[in-house]
Amino acid sequence: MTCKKIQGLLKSDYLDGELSREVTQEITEHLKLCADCRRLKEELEAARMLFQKATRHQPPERVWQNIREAIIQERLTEESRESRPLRERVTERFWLPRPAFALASVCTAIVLVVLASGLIKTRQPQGTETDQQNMAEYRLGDGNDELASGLGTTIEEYFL
Amino acid sequence: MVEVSCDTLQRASQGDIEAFEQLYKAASGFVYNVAFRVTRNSADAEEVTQDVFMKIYHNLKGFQFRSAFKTWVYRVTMNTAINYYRRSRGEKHDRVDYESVSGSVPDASSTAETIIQHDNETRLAVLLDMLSPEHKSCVLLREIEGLSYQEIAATLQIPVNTVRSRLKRAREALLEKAGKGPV
Repeated sequence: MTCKKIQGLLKSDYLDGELSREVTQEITEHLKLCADCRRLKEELEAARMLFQKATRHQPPERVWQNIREAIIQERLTEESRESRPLRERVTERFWLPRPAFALASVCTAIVLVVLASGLIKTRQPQGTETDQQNMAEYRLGDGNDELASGLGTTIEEYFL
Repeated sequence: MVEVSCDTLQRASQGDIEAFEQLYKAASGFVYNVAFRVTRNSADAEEVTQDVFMKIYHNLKGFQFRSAFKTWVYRVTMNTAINYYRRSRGEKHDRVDYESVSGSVPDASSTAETIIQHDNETRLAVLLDMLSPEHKSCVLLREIEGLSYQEIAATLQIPVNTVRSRLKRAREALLEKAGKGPV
């Protein structure tokens, strides 16, 4: 192995004990002969000492107390919710606040007005209706018309 | 992280708060230590720890096996700590961790060991601070928590080769910062 490859392994697998015994042995033998690689290994191990001497921080007791209180509070809230009558729970689920209910009512009213005005418009005056009927008959009489080839609706075919 | 028995996990998942406390005692050291190293101050580390354990409490029913549980705790901890750090970095850009500066500064009565330890902590904090969150995660899990490449890969959900290359780059950066430079 070249020094470059060995130095790459020194910074990763060799330092972390992730190599096979054979490769580790090969690198160890190389380190006996190569001052540059040996120096790199020593520098890496010195840097590692910083981490090994690092203080292990422990959480203060209040952390567990806060967690425990939060869990107990959640359980109390859940239990009080489940102990209420079914009617009350259903009402809470489907209850709308006043402003939302008012808005829903207004929207419904608008939709009804629009639908009603649409229905009114579909009622045609007598004269207009007769003209349209005549146009339909004219169309039905046209030999090139697609309706004559049986592609019309059931109702139109009935009137042919 | 201390091993947790399947029985403890089972009881904790069923709402046994004493079992959950055992679980907390087994994992809190790891969780808090990693949170502290990532967020760089104790107040945030406490919040992250509480957040992590509430997530564990809410989602425990799905975990039955020790190995999966350990990896999951590692993963939740890293994600929560890193997200918290990123979120708070914008809010507290120049906030100084007064605790680390004033609380632990050696005074005339400090022993040589305390002084050395303080110096070590300061150097470590400076070195870790220059790493990206991705590199810092790998270094923390490997150097401080002693996880294997496989465990780190499972925790961070990255390939083993990515773990390897991140550790390599992080160590190159640390050596360069320490004044050693590339060979």
